[in-house]
Amino acid sequence: MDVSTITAYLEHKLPKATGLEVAGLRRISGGASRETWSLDATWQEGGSRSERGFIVRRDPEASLLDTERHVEFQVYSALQSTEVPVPEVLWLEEESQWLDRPFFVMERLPGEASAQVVIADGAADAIARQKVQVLAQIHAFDWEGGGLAGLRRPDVPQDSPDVEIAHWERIMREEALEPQPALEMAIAWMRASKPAPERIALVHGDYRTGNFLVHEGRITGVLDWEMVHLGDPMEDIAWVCLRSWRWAGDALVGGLLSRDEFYRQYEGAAGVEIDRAAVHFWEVLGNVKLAVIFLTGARSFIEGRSKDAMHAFTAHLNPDIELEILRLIE
Amino acid sequence: MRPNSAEILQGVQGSLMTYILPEVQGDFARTELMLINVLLGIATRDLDIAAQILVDDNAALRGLAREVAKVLKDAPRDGTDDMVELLENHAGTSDPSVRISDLSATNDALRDTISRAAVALTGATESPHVELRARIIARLREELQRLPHNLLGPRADG
Repeated sequence: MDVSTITAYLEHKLPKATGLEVAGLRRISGGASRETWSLDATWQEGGSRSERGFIVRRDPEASLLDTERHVEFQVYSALQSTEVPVPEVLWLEEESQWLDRPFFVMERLPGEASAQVVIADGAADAIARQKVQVLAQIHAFDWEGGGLAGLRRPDVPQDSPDVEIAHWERIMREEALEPQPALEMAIAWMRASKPAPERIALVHGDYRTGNFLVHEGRITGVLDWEMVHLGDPMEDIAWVCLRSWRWAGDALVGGLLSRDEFYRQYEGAAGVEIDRAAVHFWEVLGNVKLAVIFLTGARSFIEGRSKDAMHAFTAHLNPDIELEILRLIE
Repeated sequence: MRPNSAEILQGVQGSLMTYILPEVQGDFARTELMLINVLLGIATRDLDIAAQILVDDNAALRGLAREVAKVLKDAPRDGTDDMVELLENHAGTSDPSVRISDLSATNDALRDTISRAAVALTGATESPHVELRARIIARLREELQRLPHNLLGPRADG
């Protein structure tokens, strides 16, 4: 992507703009399935000068995860004007004519996503409380009324575990290049240890410190909805608690608060009791999911479809994740 | 005298960090370069120990395959009928060479067979099977802990 191509695209989307200029085009690290680019644009329109920051989420050559860009776009759209803070999404391009690959464009919100920066923030306690409240709001979202009934979902709440096990097992079987004993044992354990969820909610699928923006002590936007689906909200609770996200290197969930405090705040915000056994199940699934995502990236790197060093690096995190899986299913 | 493969990789790491990194603009490119440096470090270390790790692991897995076969022969369990002979066969193999590709192929075959046995033991309630599953998990844990790639640092349980 270069300045001239993105300028031509914006001129096409903003036909009344004159003198459009793009500055600060840069790729941002992160994002499991799509490249993220940031840019600033200025232009004249209706006699006045306009200025706006944009984020472009472009399909990669290969990724950690194969997800549907229109699903992510659709969820961002559905959550506009709700209590869940998300950036405004502007344009979805399914064809490759503009930037070589499909992409979508959204506004750039102010804030910092880096987990290390967020947990070192002087307002970390307030951010932790907001993080819990926003998660409860996601789970309370009326997904049927909000037009999201088409997301991956179980027919009945009790089927949520089966749907997710099957989803990640399928990807593991497609992507793994060598036997995966810990993951195989985890899948067998999950089949024998399924909870029976009682409701279907919107599940973010990757809700963790590092995937929301923080500005001046408050959460300004929840990002990275690539793994969104409908299912058991306890799945998100477990994902928040994964060891891999304990950025401070201690027992604090997401580097922000203790597991007990997280549970207490969520129960207060959502008005539901956390099913500890279900969270344990979903924590096993979360670790399997993370390991499978890294296997996918490793394969794309090994086969030469990806040149991103991150895809080789993350595969070396899997032994640690497998140790955690064995601890959980022992 | 000339630098060997590990020394070349270490030298490349030093060159990247000393001469290239300061010249690189852009957060994404700098992050990529830092990751490349970590990967070169992993590759350097693996050059020296990867074959030994696989040789040791294959020997341990053969011992485990022998043990699993014996337990399943003495106390059969549904879904394991065809496994005893397979496990015994694997237990009697040896490494064809010390090439990483050969050692890895043997390792994959051993892990696959033991993995199938471990899956069949899920949910077992009889003590020989429960104990066997625990021993398989302990063996897998030992193997994983030998992989010196704890890149994220220590994390507390809980």
